[in-house]
Amino acid sequence: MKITGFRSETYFMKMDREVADANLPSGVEIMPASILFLETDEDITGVSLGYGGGVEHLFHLIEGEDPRDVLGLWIKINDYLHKAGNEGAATLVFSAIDMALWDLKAKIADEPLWRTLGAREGRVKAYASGLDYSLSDDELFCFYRRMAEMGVDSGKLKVGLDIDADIRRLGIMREALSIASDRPGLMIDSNEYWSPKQAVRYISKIEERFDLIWAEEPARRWDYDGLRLVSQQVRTAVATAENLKSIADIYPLIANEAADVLNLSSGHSGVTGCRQIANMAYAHNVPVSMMNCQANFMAQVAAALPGHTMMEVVDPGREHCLKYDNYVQDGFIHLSDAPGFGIDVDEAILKDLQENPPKGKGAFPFPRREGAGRYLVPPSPSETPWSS
Amino acid sequence: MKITSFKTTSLAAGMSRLCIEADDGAAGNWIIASALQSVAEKLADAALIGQEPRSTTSLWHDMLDRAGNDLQARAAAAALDVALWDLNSTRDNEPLWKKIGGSQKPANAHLSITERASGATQSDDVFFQQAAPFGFREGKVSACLTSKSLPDRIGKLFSALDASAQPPSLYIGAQGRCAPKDAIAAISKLEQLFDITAIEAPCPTWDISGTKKVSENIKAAVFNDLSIFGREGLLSHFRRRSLDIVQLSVLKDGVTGVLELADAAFGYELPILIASSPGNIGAHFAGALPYFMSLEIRDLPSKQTAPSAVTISNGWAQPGDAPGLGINWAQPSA
Repeated sequence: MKITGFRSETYFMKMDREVADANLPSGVEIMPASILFLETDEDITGVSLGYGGGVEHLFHLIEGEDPRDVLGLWIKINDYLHKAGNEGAATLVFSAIDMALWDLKAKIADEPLWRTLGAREGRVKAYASGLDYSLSDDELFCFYRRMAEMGVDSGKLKVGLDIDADIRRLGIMREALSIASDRPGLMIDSNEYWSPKQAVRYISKIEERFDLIWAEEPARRWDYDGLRLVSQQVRTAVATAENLKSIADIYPLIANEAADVLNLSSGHSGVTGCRQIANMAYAHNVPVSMMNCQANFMAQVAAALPGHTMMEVVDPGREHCLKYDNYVQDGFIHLSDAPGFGIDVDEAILKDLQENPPKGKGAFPFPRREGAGRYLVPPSPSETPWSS
Repeated sequence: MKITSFKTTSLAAGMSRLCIEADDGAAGNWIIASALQSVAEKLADAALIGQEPRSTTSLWHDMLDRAGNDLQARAAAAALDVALWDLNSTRDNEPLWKKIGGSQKPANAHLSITERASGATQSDDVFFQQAAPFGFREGKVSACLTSKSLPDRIGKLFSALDASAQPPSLYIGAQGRCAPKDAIAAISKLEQLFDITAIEAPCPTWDISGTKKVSENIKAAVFNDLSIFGREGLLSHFRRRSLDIVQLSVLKDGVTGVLELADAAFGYELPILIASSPGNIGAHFAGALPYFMSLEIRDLPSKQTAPSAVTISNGWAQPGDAPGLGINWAQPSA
């Protein structure tokens, strides 16, 4: 079997609700998305979600190759990117190609990707994540209660700009999740808004009231000294790495004992890169947690990673043109036996989204908010419904 | 699909062939020391029978959890894991290198002469003659660093290797017999005579500080021997940056463990050596590991205990296209 061509599609979608964090508390409704189709000479197509564009710059490296040789092709692309670096847009394309290759490898074997990767079962523990900074207190409760009704017993709250509000809303999240567990798992995410010392002060304050599983990105993504300092000075585990690009970026975090949990994503140089990081983390006894994504497709990978704890489920309504059959029940993402990632594309809906782009509030990506790392700029009433 | 049976058949020289069968008729084979048969049987009964054979990652970790610190059980788990990969790739009519996702790529290889197997210098000469047609450019001699005959053996190895393209690469298997300072002194003397690429276990591999001290005081790279197992054995070496190269082996890490630990080493950009194994099946990793360095060859193709499809030419080991491990079980072993 050989790779013969590709097609990439980009589009915008309007989510069912806003998503927001400390850097853009007012949130956005519009999300850009992309789909890569890798074509072969045997009428099997590999599909991957979420790259940015520019596949033509790397396609010559895989054209005519057997998609089953995905690790070898990963090495080839990684070596090709040596001088320019596996960074930015290049990483997005690299990741998209690698994911589509794994989709093909599993489809050729007529098995779900979780099985190709050696998992025993297609089942991954989920945690709820509202990306909820712009949700009112009532909306916050409703989101986490809806997730709890699906058995999800852990949640992650966006925090950072108003410590009193953060503590109040953590209580709301805990109450909403309490139907799933007597002791819901609680996490917070400040998205690099704090300095390390701010993080120590604010997390310590929260720890007076709540037992947290982890605090995500309490300092800058690359600041291994700052992240380690936070980890040493609070009880809560420090989670980080979602915005890094490869195992090379992760190395300083692990070597300097700066991360207690690593957040993985498809943007970590694809399935292969993601697995490399997970294997390195496992060797160092550092748990990993898969980031949210459309249709929870990376649960296919998470199911096979040693040391994986639970995967982030956001569920804001991003699957407009995607057909999939995984679902959340009893607190777990359940994957089917559909081949590959188990994702199909409804071409008619995709075409409609491209021809009639939806209108709505804001667009990705979030900028960094004023005051970040230095002083707090609380949200104004025009930014969030809960601020005073 | 489920694993239905596990059985062993005695081969020569204290080795046995183990076979795992699935309910669709697929079978996977590998070799295990006969002394470990009963350990492997117990482990297979507990962890494999009734399980889906494609669940390689989960089954590997399940077996390790059951094995705990029992090194015999760890070795048995590795053998069972290799057999599972043979089963899965044979069933799909793919060579192992393709099943694990690699490209077809020859493995850079080094000829390895052991103290135990070769004994006197004279035996080395016979081995070198047998190895000559394969064009090795790299070689390893195993001996205590303080052995008086070591410089002579290294010199003969150097002469026996193909130097037509570049100076041969020399490895020494020091067998972990020296204290760190003794190792540094001995290696420093050898380095006045030879350009040595890497030294295996210049002091006991469990001595992490000592290993690091040796590395910091010699020119050659330092790598581990096979006395440490898994992430438990490597974690402190990673943390201290005491190794310059990581050596892995299917005989203790299985296929799954090699893939996982090679990823961990890649995080530090540590090159990977694959230790020798029957059939030289480590050649299958060359196109799958991003920092693959060299494959140890003790079994020349004409002397293999498990005749395989791996061929060696100009010092490169080519895994071939035969399904699975590519071992010809019908051919009598040497």
